[in-house]
Amino acid sequence: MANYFDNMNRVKVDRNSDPIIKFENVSKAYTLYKNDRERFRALFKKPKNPIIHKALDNVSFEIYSGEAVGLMGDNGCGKSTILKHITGVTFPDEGKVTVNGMVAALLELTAGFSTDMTGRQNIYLKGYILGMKDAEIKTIEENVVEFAELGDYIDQPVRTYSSGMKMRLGFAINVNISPDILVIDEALAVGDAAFKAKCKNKIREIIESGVTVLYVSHNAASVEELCERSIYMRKGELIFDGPTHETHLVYLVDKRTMQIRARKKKVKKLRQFIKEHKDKQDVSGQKELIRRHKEKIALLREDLEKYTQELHDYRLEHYGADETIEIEGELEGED
Amino acid sequence: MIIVFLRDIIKEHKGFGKQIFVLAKTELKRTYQGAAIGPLWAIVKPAFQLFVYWFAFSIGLKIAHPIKVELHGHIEKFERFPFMLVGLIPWFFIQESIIKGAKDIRSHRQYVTKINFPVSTIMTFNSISRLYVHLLLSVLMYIFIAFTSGVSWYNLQFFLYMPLMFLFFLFLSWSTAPMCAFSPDLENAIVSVMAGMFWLTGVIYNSYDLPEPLKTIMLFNPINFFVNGYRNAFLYNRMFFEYKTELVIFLSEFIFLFIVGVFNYNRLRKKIPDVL
Repeated sequence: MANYFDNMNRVKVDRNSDPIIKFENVSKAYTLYKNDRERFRALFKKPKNPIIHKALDNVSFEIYSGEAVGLMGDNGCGKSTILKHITGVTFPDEGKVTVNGMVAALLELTAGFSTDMTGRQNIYLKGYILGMKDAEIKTIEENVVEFAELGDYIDQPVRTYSSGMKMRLGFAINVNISPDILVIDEALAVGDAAFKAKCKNKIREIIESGVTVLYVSHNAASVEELCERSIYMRKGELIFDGPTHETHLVYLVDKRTMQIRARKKKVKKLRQFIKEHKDKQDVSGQKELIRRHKEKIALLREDLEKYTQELHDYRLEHYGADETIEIEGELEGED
Repeated sequence: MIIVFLRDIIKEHKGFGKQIFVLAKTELKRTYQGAAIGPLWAIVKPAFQLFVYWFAFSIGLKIAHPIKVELHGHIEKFERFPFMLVGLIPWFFIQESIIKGAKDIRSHRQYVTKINFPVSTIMTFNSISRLYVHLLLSVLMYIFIAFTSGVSWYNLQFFLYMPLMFLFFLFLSWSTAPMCAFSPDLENAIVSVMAGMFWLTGVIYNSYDLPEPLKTIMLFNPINFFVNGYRNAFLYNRMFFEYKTELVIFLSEFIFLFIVGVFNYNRLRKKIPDVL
């Protein structure tokens, strides 16, 4: 797939250095077992015809130190699987994932807490898990305590915390360990409005300090605000990797195309149905459905044209006419 | 290959040593927290079991006569109560280790599926927390033994049998815990087997005092090695190497279990997060 990110005039990020995150032809498939018996059997021998869900299909990309990269895509496109590989929770079936640096993940903030330990002990626990030494943890301890605003609760067992307090502690630890890579899920809810604002500021501060950021979101506006570069995933495949605005347009075009395709399929099915049942029963309901699908398709087409035009204009503006024709020709060829 | 695999496990423990003990302590706290008499339960439960077995045998079944054990070529007699006591102390640890050890990964799934955690240390810190209880019970047992049978150099063999027992069942959990994470069937199977295991082990009777071939078959049950081992140290005044057949059988089982454990853990480690 075309990656014309190199065409951008980037500052600050040194793309000649070793990438901080590198995915090389990474594929990951989850085996779905028919039932528990199958799963039991899989312990001893390979299942014969397993149902396989491809979560990642030959995904390659490189992220350099200091970049802020957005991850776009619909549910089930493989975003979380990518994040899981980066945080080291899961491992690829094929290919190689290299991560050079400490990862702080603002995903599952309360993950890894031992609820019977106090908040303070959990700061140490989390630090150890991340491979920090006692002395290092000591230096961040006060910052964490201050940021989490837990008061005397910091020395109480975490099980006595409200869920908001746990989140606050989790967030405070993750942003204060001075990570090399920060992974953020937009669907993150941390406490009340005031604390949320504090978190946003902290994240911004971290990003400005030059930490590599991976940002997952459904909200294109917020991605564009934070990241210059974005990756668009669809069903485990990396469809596009480039400037965020362009990626967003590619995403919109692609999504409309898919929606039109799906509706067309439905219309085809309905037509088939009408053909077969014309004499036997009333098919006016189906005809009405077709009419509605067609209306929707027309609307989607309009959208598609609009976005395609926008994308075309964007490319013309940024890459010049020749290059744009080349890119679009290449993409069409692949379709 | 086994060395490469083992290196992974050692790497997971490296630099995590201190944390393992902190986690073991919290694990212990969690077991007994919220109970009014708290840690006392660690003593009350086994003490009650001991009483029940003693009651069933001495009062119920009326077999209060001493237990005969063939040692150093002649028969020696031992009171039933100390005999059962010394057998039950390792048994409590073994039973907990086998049943709970198999559940270790499943019951700490958040460490596996949510964060990048050295998974093999989960079994280690859980085993250590069980060992703490065992050490406490052993001290209590020793006080009783010291007063009734007296102190002897043979008692020091405790420091051989105890670590060996710890390692043996830690290695066992390297196999069982990842496998049970995959399938709860195995977990149920282990619980079921362990329910009957007590009666197939010489905890309250003498496994040496059986007709052949049962006597030899009993040697293949590694739990017997520890139960009899503790009796070697505290009652029989016998060195661990005196019964060579038993020792050799146990050691080969120990090595076998170790290799299988390392292999199983490494085989399943990367698959666990996907199935849990």
